[in-house]
Amino acid sequence: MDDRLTIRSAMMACAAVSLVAVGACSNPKGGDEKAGGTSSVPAASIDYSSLARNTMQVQAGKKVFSNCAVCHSAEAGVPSPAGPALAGVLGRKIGGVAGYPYSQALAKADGSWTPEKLDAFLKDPMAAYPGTAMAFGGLAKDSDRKAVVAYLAGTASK
Amino acid sequence: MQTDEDGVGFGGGIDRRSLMRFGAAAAGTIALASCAKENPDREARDGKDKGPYDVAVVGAGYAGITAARELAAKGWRVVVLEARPRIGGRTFTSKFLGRQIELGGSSVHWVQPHVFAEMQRYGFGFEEVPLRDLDKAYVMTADGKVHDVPPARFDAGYNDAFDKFCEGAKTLFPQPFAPFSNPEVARLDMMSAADRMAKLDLDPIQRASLNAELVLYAGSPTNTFSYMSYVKMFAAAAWDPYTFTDSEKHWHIANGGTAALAKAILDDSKADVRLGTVVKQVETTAAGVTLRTADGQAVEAKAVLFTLPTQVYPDIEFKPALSAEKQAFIKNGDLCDGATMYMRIKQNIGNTFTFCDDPNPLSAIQTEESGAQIGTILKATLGRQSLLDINDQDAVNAELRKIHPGVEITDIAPYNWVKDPFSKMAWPAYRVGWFRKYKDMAKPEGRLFFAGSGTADGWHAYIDGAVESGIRACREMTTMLEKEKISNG
Repeated sequence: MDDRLTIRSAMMACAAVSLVAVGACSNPKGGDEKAGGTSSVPAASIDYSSLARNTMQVQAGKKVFSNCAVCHSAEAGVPSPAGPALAGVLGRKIGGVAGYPYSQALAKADGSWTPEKLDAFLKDPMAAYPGTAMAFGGLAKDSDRKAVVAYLAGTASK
Repeated sequence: MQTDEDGVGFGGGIDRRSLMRFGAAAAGTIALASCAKENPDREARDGKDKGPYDVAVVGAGYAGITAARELAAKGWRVVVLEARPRIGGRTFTSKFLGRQIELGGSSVHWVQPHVFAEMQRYGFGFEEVPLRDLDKAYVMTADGKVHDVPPARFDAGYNDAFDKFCEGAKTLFPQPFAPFSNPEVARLDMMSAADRMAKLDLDPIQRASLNAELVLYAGSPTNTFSYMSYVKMFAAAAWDPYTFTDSEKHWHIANGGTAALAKAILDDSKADVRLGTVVKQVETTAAGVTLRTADGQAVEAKAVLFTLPTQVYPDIEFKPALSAEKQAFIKNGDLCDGATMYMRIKQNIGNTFTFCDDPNPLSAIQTEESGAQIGTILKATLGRQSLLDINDQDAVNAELRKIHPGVEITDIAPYNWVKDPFSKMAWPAYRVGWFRKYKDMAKPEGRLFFAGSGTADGWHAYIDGAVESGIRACREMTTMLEKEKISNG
């Protein structure tokens, strides 16, 4: 019991420390520097959270997301090891996390992440956005991609 | 027993080792260590408006950051340009189910002098990965049949195969860091690992084990792999199978892993660092070098150090072009189809080690952790990722079930180095006949210098080789820069 409380509070304290630290991590090419936030982009006008209504699909998507979790966090406030944080990515501007050193492929991309665009990217990242820095070969199965999009649709940026 | 959302059990089920790992993750060292710009002083030090740098280092892996620290310590103005959004290169510390994991180069040892010195310098000890005292050893032969081998027999058989393969290592490599001192080595470089194995008297289990090991190092079938290059590493491990195995998979860097040591090196450095900076063009004149990046930066320097994985060079335009020798080596000499993945299964299968012979894709599978709550966390290294879609959990599960029927994978954490646009290959692995050309990649060309684990004399394919090469590059560049300084008055 004591161990669990200690570990949990340590985790919360350190998540806060990491959050501030990531906030201070800045892009020399002039991205906004904001302490304490992983995204300064206003909320998208389209709400994709309805995609996350199928709990079985969301659970399957969480499992598929373990492919991604080595680089990406999908929980608000938890920093990512390498890629941009993905909490609330559905509907977010592509290349939209302030201060993150995106490749030109995503930094210069138009529009926001719709389910269709995300599906194409996850199927073959290098084909969808040539020059992307994302180190990932792709999810070959339609069902895997749909599941992980559903899972991400249920994550909130706040 | 209640678990949190990561599936980590609390209470009596945690052993000391998982607590240590969880502690490291909770300290947030992974997220911090991956981002070199969290130090506000570093932002202020980025002197891009203060005129040309003396040195630009392309790549913030262990070779680049070592060279950068050494050069900056000597007083040269240095900038490190890293394409990825993180430092570490082909080392990458991340997390899986609350545990710290290593997805790239990870194993270190006190017989690896360069990385050990860095660990000593910054106070990093060794963390043990389960390897000895196996509960079970499995060997899958090429035909797909799985053999449950008593661990003692597995160890003895494997060591015997090793000794046979590496016979003559002391004569061939009396000084492993001067690998071609015996002219016999250059001659024998035309022999592949498969050629060598064909001459040995081994039983099927030994043959499958050794071949799986060699496919792992080769990143390809063993008929394309340089036999001498492997024996050289065996020689570097004191010509001893126990020490060699101990150095390749038993010890990791404690207190934060490869990311933490890389961060320590870089934080100790006076060099500037720019992440997400992709060099696309290199133009050299008599006066200096101009690097042009994908986002339109132009970085000027008197000398540039390249630390790229061999397969990345073709993505950069060199004006003038790289030497014919380098181009030939890039095309033919060092290709590696490797990948790494962690998996968690519900079942507790204990402390196991498995070799799967080509063409079975999971070349080596090692238990990282096992227990009643967690089940088993396995680390698999693939010599040939093209044989399996490691992002397809069903496909991976099917492969694993050939060895452990009925197991259920709940989570995977793969990293495919071949699909990473800034490596396009895994670890350095010399092809038959190309080990004797490795120095071509290390040779300076005017203002351009070259490092990286594949250019190392000793433990190439290991972190130690990268650090070795960074130290060597600093020495070469300093000589050139000082000479130029003197002649310029």
